[in-house]
Amino acid sequence: MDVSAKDYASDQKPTWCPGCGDYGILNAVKQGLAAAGLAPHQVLIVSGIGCGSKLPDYARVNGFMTLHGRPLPVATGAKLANHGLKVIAVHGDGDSMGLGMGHFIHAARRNIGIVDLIQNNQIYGLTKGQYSPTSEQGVVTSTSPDGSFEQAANPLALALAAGATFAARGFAGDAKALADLIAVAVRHRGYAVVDILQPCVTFNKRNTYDWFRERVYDLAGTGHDPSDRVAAFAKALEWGERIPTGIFYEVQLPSYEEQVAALQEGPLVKRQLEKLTPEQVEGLLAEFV
Amino acid sequence: MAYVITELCIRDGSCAEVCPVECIVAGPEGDPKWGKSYWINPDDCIECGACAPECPSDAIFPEDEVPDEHKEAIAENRAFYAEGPGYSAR
Repeated sequence: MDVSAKDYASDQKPTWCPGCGDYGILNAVKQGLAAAGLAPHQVLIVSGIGCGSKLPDYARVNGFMTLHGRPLPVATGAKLANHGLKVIAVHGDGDSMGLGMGHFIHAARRNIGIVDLIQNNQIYGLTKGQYSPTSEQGVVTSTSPDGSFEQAANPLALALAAGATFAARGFAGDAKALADLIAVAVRHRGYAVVDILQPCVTFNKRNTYDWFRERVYDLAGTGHDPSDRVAAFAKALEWGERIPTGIFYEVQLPSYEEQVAALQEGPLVKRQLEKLTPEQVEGLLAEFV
Repeated sequence: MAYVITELCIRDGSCAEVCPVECIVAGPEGDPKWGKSYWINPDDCIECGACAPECPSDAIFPEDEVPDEHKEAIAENRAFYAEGPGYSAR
């Protein structure tokens, strides 16, 4: 299908701060979906609560804004109800690594066909700058005045440990490379997580565009083997002077929905509902008494 | 909808400093066609709006809000990268 990023244009103007990394991510999502040949009606974007979770409003797609931390359960339900849809979860580091961390581990373990885009700006931006689960240890914020005492959660290491079949990292300051990653992720069979490094220009004064630009490098061309899970894990632990981006790990295994017998005849939403006979209803009710 | 630099540009350069994707380049100084201005690559602009408030001469507009008298700037910005020196001028 001939699709362009313009087909994803929404009439809503983003309310993000000027320079926010979310603009690069929104752009890359539109470009990546178009490059993969997906039309807007074939896509559902499920988000949570946070600055970045406003994204579905700014793209012409099917959208579902859920509760904070809960995009993955809703996306899982949507995928099982209509596995013909390309289901994408978009949420921040607070949403995915805080309240939603349990869901994250299980989505990876299940290999459910969801693309999980983590807008990782290492801060709670919407609530004005508290430290988040992915904030670096020692970072000073309004809720960590003596520096954060906690180790940062590592989305890719967690995903790989849980059994994710696709793990990648992009940078909001390189929207083209991120769009390429998203185009690959949406073609992946099963769960695909993309950890997106994203500056928060208002509240995270440490992890800026320049800070990232000095450190990020592309794994492609370094000899990294994306089918090697142990090597991918080692790369996931690399952080500091050099930060890897690109595809860390990619293997093709049956997705969850491919293994559900009831879904093999096609998406549930396409099935004709058959009216039950009174006898069938009574039989069903009898199961509960 | 990309941002556009119009002929109000005074070559201050604050826009290029704040652009998170580095898609704003100054035309080569003295170049009769391109030297008057900085230019935004419409294909790489992520529409974040960081540049517009930095501009001391209010020369930068979102494409759909460019005043009628500066409309030709939309094509000019594009042409700087398509036909002109583009990123090689950096």
